[in-house]
Amino acid sequence: MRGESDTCSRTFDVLIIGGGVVGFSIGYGLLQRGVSVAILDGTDRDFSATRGNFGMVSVSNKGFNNIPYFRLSLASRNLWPSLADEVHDRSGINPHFEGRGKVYLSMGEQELADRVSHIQEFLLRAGDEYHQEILSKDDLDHLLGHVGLGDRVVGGAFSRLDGSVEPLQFYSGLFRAYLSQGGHYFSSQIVRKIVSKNASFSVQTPSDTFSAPKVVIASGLGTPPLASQIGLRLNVRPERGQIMVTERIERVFNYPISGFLRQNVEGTIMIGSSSEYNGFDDHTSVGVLTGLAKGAVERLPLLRFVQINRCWAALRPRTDDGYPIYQESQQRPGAFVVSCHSGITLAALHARLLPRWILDDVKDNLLQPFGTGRLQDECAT
Amino acid sequence: MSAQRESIEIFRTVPLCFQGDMITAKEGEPVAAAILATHPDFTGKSPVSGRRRSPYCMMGLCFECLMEIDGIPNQRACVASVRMNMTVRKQIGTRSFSAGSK
Repeated sequence: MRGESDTCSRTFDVLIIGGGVVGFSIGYGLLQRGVSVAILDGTDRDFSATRGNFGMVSVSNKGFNNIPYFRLSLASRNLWPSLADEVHDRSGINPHFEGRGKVYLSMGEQELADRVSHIQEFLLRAGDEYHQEILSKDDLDHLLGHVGLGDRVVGGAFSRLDGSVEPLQFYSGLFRAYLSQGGHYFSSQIVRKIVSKNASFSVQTPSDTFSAPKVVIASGLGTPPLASQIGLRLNVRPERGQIMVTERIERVFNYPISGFLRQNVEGTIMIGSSSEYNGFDDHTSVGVLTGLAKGAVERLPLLRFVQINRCWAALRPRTDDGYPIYQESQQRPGAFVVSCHSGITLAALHARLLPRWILDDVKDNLLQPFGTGRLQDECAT
Repeated sequence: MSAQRESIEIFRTVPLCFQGDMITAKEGEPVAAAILATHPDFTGKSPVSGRRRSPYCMMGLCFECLMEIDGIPNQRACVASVRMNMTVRKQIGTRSFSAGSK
């Protein structure tokens, strides 16, 4: 999609570099404050986790070793229903947010025992806000709608904290809602240079120059070289995930199954998702896909009879410690970096909490632990 | 071109049952082609919109030609080859999949 082509008005209140779900969530949130926003997007050939993700709003498995990250994810989940409703109203596209929870299946007694102790420890660390309860195999099968669980499933757990969304419908709904609120969008704008001058930034692409007093870099895997132009050093590594999607069948299970399975409202079942570090290679591999299929059938034997329609891989942008980064440049105040691999889970938080930080310099307490300082500290020790 | 035509001529003509009607088809041709040639009508209904669909891309990509072939639902009829005595039905909506069945 080519954006606007007017050349006269290239000055905005905020420029966002990156038109993925992170950039649009921030942009949409900023528009609610009445400022003018332009999103500069790359091309359809760019790596895009936004277009390849599994659509989970994940909380109960976030931040075991970093409780502020759990709290961040939970805060976002709690903001999700209102964002989903707004996007639906303003775009006509239903993102199908479902916040009813998620199931964990344990394969073998050892996995179940590990889960029991994991939940106990998580509760100790996170307190009453945390929820995950152990369920028997029968109770899980009942909860899932009697889909039938595999022989190796011995039990598992349920957490009401989690949810899911149709990621592509959410993205296109967010895109339209953003446009309907007066947001500007420019595609095929590969940013080459960010120059600061007199409390304003000038952002240059091969064809155009845009300017604004504030710039937000939310460019996924493309973030590090742009961040270095505003004096921020950070790494974002590509973590490959592979996913399969089946034919459309009637609803056969009622809750997403952590790490493996989710049925879309239109009937397809997503089977995922793997994790590999393989550079910028975003091809699928037979070995990994075979493993995913076996894992799915071991859990829900019924899937043996369901046809796979498509497979794909996408690259998650992974920071050094796996946690999000919200950092304003000290050298170039007014320039910000936002980077995370959970752009769906955190979308509502990005829309609701980042505008105050970007416009008013008020950084919510939830965001405080997630500057780049922690990474430099780690490098030093 | 004439060579191609001759190669088609050598295909056997075989019976195929579509929606209970017996039609004739060429063995080896796409099921979708055989049905388009004899029943220029819709071949399924979308599970999402409920709208009528029929074969479109004829190369396995668009999934508009889904039909039930020999009892297996959601088959792309454009990449299924005609064999002797096939039974084909329109794919109406989502594949039903009661637990335990196949």
